[in-house]
Amino acid sequence: MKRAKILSASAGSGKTYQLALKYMCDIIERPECYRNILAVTFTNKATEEMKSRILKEIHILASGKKSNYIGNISKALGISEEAIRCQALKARTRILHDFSRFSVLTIDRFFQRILRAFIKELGLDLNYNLELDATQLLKRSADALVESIKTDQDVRRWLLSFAEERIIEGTRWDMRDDLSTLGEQLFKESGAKRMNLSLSKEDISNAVNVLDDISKRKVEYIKSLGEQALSVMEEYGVAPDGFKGKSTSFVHCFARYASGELQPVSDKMRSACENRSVWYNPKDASGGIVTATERLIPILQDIVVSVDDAIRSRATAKIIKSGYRSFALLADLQKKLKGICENENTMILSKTKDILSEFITDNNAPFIYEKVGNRYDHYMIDEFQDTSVREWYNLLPLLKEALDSNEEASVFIVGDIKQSIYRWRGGDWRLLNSVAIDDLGHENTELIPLKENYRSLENIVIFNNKLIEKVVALDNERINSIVSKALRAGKISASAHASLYDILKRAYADHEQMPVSDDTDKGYVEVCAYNAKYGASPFIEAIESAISRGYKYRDILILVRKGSEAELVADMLFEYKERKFSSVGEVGFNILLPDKLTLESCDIVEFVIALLRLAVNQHNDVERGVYNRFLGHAVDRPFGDREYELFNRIIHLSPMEAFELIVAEFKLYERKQSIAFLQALHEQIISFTTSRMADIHHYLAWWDERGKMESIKVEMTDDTIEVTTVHKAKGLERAVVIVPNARFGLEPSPNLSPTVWSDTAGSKIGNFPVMYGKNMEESTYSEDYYTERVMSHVDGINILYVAITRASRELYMYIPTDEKCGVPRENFPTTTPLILNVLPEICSAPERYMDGEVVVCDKYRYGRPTTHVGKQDKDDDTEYVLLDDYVTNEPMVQIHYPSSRFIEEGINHIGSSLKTGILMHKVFEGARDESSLRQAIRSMNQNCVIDANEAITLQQKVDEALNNPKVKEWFNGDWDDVRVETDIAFNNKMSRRPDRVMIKGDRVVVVDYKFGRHHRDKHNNQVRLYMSLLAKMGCYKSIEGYVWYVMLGDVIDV
Amino acid sequence: MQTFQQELARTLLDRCGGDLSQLVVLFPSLRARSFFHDAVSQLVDRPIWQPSWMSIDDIMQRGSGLERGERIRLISELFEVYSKYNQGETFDRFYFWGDMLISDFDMIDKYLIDASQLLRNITDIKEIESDLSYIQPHQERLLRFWSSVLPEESLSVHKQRFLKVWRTLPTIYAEYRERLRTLGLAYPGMMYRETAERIRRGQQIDIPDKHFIVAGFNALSESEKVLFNYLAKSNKGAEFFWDYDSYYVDNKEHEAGMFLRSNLAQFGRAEGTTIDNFSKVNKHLRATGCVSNIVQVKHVAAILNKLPEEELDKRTAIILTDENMLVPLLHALPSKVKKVNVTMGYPIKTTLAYSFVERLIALQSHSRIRQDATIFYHQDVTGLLTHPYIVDCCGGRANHFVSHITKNKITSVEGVIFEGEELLSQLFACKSEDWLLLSKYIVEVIGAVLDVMSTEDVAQLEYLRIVMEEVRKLELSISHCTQKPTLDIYVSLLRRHLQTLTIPFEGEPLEGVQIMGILETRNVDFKNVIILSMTDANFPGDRTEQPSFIPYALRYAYGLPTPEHHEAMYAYYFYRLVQRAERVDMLYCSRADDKSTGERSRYIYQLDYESPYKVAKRSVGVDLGVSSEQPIEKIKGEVELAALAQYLDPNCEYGLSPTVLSKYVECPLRFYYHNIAHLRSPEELSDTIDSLTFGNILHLSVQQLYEDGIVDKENPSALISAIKPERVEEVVDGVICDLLQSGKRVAADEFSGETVLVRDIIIKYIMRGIMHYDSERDGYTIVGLERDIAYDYPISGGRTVKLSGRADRIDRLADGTMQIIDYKTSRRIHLECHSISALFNGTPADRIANIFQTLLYSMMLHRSEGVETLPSLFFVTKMLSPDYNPRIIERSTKSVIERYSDVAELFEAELTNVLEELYDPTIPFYQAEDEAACAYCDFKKICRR
Repeated sequence: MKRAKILSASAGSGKTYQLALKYMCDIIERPECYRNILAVTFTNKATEEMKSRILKEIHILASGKKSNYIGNISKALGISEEAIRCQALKARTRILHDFSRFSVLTIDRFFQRILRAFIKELGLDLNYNLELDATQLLKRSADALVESIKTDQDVRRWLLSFAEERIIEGTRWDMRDDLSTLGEQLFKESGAKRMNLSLSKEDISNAVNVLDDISKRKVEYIKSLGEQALSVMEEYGVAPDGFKGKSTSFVHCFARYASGELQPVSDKMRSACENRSVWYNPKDASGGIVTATERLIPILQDIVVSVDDAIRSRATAKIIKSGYRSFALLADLQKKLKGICENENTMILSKTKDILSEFITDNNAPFIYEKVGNRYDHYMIDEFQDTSVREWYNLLPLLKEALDSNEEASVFIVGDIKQSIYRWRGGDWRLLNSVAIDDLGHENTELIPLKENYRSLENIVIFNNKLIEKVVALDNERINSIVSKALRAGKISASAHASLYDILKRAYADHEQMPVSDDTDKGYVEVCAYNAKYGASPFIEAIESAISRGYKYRDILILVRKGSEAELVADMLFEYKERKFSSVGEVGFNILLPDKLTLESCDIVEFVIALLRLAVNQHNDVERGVYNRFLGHAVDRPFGDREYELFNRIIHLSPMEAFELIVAEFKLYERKQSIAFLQALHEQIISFTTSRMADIHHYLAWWDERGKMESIKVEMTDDTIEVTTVHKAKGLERAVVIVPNARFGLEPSPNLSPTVWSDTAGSKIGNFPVMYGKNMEESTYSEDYYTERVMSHVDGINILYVAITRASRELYMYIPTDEKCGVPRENFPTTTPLILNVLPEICSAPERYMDGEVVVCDKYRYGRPTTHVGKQDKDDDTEYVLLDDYVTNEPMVQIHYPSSRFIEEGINHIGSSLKTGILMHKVFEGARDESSLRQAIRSMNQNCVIDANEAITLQQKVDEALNNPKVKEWFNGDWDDVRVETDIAFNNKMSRRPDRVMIKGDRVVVVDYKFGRHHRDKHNNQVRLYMSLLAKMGCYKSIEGYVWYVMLGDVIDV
Repeated sequence: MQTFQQELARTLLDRCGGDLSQLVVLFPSLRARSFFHDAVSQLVDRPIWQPSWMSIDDIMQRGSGLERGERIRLISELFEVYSKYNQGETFDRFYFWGDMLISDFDMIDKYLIDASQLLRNITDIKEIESDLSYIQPHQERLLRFWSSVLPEESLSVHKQRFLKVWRTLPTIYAEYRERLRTLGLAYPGMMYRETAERIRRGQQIDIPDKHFIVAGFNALSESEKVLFNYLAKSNKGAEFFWDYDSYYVDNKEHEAGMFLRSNLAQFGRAEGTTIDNFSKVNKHLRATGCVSNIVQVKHVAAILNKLPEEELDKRTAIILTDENMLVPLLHALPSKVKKVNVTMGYPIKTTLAYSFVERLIALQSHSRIRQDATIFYHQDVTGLLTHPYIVDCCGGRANHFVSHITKNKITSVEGVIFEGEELLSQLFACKSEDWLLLSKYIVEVIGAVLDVMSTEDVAQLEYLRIVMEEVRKLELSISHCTQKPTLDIYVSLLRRHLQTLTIPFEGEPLEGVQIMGILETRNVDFKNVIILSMTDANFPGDRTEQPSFIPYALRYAYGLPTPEHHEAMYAYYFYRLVQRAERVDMLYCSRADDKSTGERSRYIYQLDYESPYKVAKRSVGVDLGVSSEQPIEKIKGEVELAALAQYLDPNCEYGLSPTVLSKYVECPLRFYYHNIAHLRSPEELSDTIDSLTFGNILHLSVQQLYEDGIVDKENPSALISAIKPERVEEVVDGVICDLLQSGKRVAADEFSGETVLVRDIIIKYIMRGIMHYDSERDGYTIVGLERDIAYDYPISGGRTVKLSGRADRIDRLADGTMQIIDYKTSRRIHLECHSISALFNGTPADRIANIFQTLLYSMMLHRSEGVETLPSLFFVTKMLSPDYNPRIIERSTKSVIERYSDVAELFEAELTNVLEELYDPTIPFYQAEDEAACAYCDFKKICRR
């Protein structure tokens, strides 16, 4: 049996089920083997979901409930249901009580674990901070780079000419932002890894000049060829008009080349290299023309060969020239970054993978396992299509070692290349496509496609099958024609052509799925092509319709392409919510948004921030305006005394307590509709205060930089509609899925051009970050241009695929179109024409909706919407509640100040007498006799509470105190028992704790110490109480009591 | 329900006939003592002595005769030894790693491991195979480990590093202990081992001659076991009471019972406490997932409010597994709760006193010395000057300096400016260049503040005093060390030291709802328990990453604590807390993000899937409300009209400037905010040069260059081209010094890196842009630089509105036309407008302020002096290109405006409209309709746009 399995799992094919099944089979077979299974997931959220799912299913088996897995487990292992349940019970117990070994982790977390176990060996600092986001660090590195021009003339010259160039181009002279953006490339696997960081700026500048010269020389050469051709014609007395085609003859090209114009080679020119009939018509050609042609053909041939090359050189030089200055600074930037990281003991997450990659290659797996404390034999990897090459090669040695050394070991990889949408983050589906099998060995590896669709109802599966089939076919054809043309034009190599040709067709070869749902409902798909000129996407109707047919809000998922679109959708939902529910005083529904609803977007948040700012600086008029407006005052109303006093109170508090004060003072907790924001701000402030610094200034600075952009999060309840991006929806499933703007770009977006690392053939520069664009096509980088372009098509189709395969029961797509609901004119191809072209072949004719003369939308339907009898989800017995009371009160407790006892006793809280009092108390509090007094002082000195001089002074003070014969007796060590600070239990009351009680026979002496400067009656009363308690104990005949004013040297006999 | 303490008190009182004074009780926590006191006091009818208390630490220390060393001292001593065998490591790099090594030694000693065996230098696998001294069952594990490291020939760098250190450890361990012993110091494990070994050798250790009650312990190290055996065999003997439940002790798989199972076997069990409460006391269990940490804290109120009011006392406890939630929780208790007792402390790091120290550190670490003078970074200086303590001490003077620094844009502040100011001169005296100076500096400054501070706020005085004492204490500790830290490591030590400090809360321990950390719950029982932050990552937490140099395999083989030990301990804490409770609420933050999985604690799963009780589940979310923004406007009242009226007076000093008027055209409300309500953004001193300053440097430089011999000269092009580059540099440097160095002449290489760049760029702009342009043409005379122009513009009702402003430059052309010139440094080039009327009524992008203003100047000059004017804009960024034309183009008519008079009629009609509207009392100041106008508005926050 092949021990490595790769599951190709189309959307809805029960991938999670398969993973859980595999996991359960393993542990049912051997309940203790959970310790040796490592399941790798893509996100923290997925980790939690997978863990709880496996636990729940094992629990179902163990507790004898009905299980969806038991049949398949029984089949796979060939054991009885009873035996399975019995093993499941064992497994459940083991896992629950050895939970840390239940390893379902994200790949990053797993790598971190290894890293932490080898800190010393890797030469890392203990306690290093892991930074997920390099943006701020890069910004600071760019600042440091600019600052360094004071000392580095080289950088100064470079930056100045860079700034100059930018000014001429009309971009901002300040290059720092662009530099730090480019700096992100340092962490991309594809990029900086292959970049030659050892090139100096001078090297680069020279290389650029060389490229530029070559290109110029080529242009010159062609110019000379043109001139040569013109002189030949002159020599033979022929004019271009004399050739075939007269004024349209290609021969005119010589004049243009001679003028220095670099015109691309035409097809006619190409054929003219071989074919004289292109030059002239043999019948009516003059002799001059014929002879001239013979002389001109070799020149033309030379031109044809040279022009392509010259154009390419020129384009390459142009690209390089536009970007080489910042490129050259990358190495400097990286140096600065390294310095900052070292200084601050920080490591950037992606950097850890580099370190690990080296470490794992150099060391055998057992060494790693034994030191970390756990070895894994069974590996399960989820969402494999989004794994990066580096991650894979960090895992591979471990997988291989397991397979080699253990017969039982297994590797279980699950993924779907069609759902590969994280290429921009390093995900590489070629791993799943072929690399993984090659690496693991074909003889070991089995590839299993999953054909069934368990998620969606029949109509949705069939609709998607058809739509994908046709859309893929259309786009595949388009890609093929693009790449074939590029091959013919010599812009890509044959091997690149081979890998790009039919790429979509291959990726989607087995996309077709079988519906297996036995539901009586068949599901419903609606595609609405709406007139975008007429109005915004009418997707709200789908929500209303679904709700009216028995769906809950939580059954609905709204998918958007990116965050900004989510905001628009959210605005429309809020507007709908307000219109429909606020008027009748209902909550209606909640909206769960991806990280898009920012803190600063709520007035209550801005109000709190304004107050904090005002506390820092009361002369801030703008914040005063914000403050006044929130409270309904005129914006320029001046502050009153009460407000100044409030600011003063705030500024003396930590940000956390200042927040509480503001909430209480202005009763913000009463603004129930803003609790979501209030709690998010509160959470942020707590987290800032505890992890950084409790300082309002610092918090406000951080707020401006980062805090205000943080997003707020809401919990899913029955009444929550989730809006999310397609990227985040990976793995999600919902009954009703709505895509309000079902238009997915296929080409790299012009304003978000990706950076492509591309090899500058024949130049020292090597790999170079090229901003993707049409200009690449003519250049040396053309192959990367086509590859990026085609991959972008694949990304776009994959996104469409992910979007339409989330729905289990109903799918709604709203496609923005032109006024006639036809295909809109687009500069950059999207999925829209593809879909609109194939829809008529799938659905019957659309229904058209009109508003007067205006077309509103065309609706295509597949299947029929039905009433949804909301099945009660039996497993989920969770009660959902909303936090509706933001209780905020003054704390009921006071802080106990260490010196309060002494201050109560009348010591001034400033100055040295307080300190002496505290120290003396410390010395006496636990001492039984004179020697332990000395010991106490010694150990205070040892423990660095006091220095040697203070110890001497203290000893003198103690000696002075002992001069009193009464006191001397107390500490002479001649007692049966000395009880210092020992409690007396007393009839269900608070215990009493006299400072010192000495017992000898039936004589007892009780002493209380006072450090103040004044005798007080209450001190005597206290001692009297102690005496009466001792009397009540009934075992002491002689009871004495004293108040000892230590600092005054007075002993008062009570 | 009887608590463990009640059962114990009852049993002991019965046993001793009501006299506990002859007992010594050992509890694992201090907290347990007060609950025991309470239990006793409820059972007695006359005063009695409570028993004596001891702790294991006390006994071990006394037994060993050693003194526990300060951590810093211990690390410094270890470094002395370590660096003999591992050269090239600095104390700084070593510090935290040394800390970890001491923890490893500590464990080895507490568990009485033969260190020479554990830390043995293995060079050949056969050594292990042949050595019978290895305990059989673990031999395999050891073999596996060593065979993964060895053989030598294929050693990776990392293995070499491991072995290199490993091989020095046995020597280091032995030598280090010897060194400490000579000094009379020890780390805790060393004292434990010493005492245990003395006992093993049959020596007596100093303990009271009383009967010992050992109660409530769980995990025991080998040395503790030795001690307990010794107590059991001592004169008066010892009894062992264990606080557990058969629910988890009888279940062999249950990690909570791991230690007790062996303790019971070894020490037996004194009767008198019950062990079957888990199943006997019926329980209501609930797990509540919350959307954020703070929501769980706020939800506590809902839970407390549902409890019977009379139970809101010591029978109810809120357990914080994340101490950062303490302060928020204290603010979130409902008013129904009348009293609380907090066992945890208030964290010093959230006090002003701590942030004051941080500011002192920042001030010092950013400071530098320039020509014998100490220079401080302005943000640090103003930060301190506005710090409440300093404001309390000398607010007036501090404020004076802040405005001095801001107004003069002093980015590098010299300490000397504070000379003669009592406190401030101390604060900004000089750079503290080593740790000791910094420490003394902090102590002195705090001391000075304490002396002067006028506040009645006792809390602030206390915080400051505590912080000062701790800084001193750290200073004393370090001064005992042979190794002295660098400034950086000192700062890091100081931070760690202060950040862990807490101050206790007031309160009677046994009154009110109890708030405590999980460790304090040992041996204490509650009827109602609310546990917060119960995610698995937090409770029990992931210990697999706990740093230790001893590989897991070896720890395991030698019986040293592994992460499993830790988990078993936490499981015990949890189940012990639950065993007698009736109502248990477990709250956690279920949010999954980059940092956390939001996974509930394993204990929730365990209870849910295994216990006889059902765990109710709840999820707490928040409603996302809508707040739609209402537009705002300001009606013209008396005040506003009066403010406007001043411009109607031809004698008023300042009229409406083109800048101000263009604000009105962009957004009337903005005009109101700025010119009527006089709202201003606060002046801030920024490190980066903003576009305004950039523009100012350029303006002033050109003015200075031209003022000198160029003005009023006919056809000055030759003169201009004769200006030397050095002269331009000199002028620009001077202007920069005026604007950015408060007039102080500073050499250009003293500028910040950014300033240097800006200087270079401005010089380029001036020479290749303006000067080049001016020297390439003829037929003009520069007649005015920064010249004031004013005009009383007539509107309805015979009124005039005073308009006035200052033109950058005015040239007289050959034909007598006056060219109005505005220098512009912005990147966006606005030489084109759609049309004159679009300047007033178009989209925000059409209302181009630059063009509007230059037209307005042209109008003012045209009307006031009756000359023809030519509006023009010098975009310096664009002037580098050879065919620059500064004239304004009207796109709609495709024409270049060559003379103001060509557009005068249209322009003035629109202008009249605007001014009529401004002076119309019935039209309020309204908001710009299009939000695009708000992009760069200072006031958009007020409008919430």
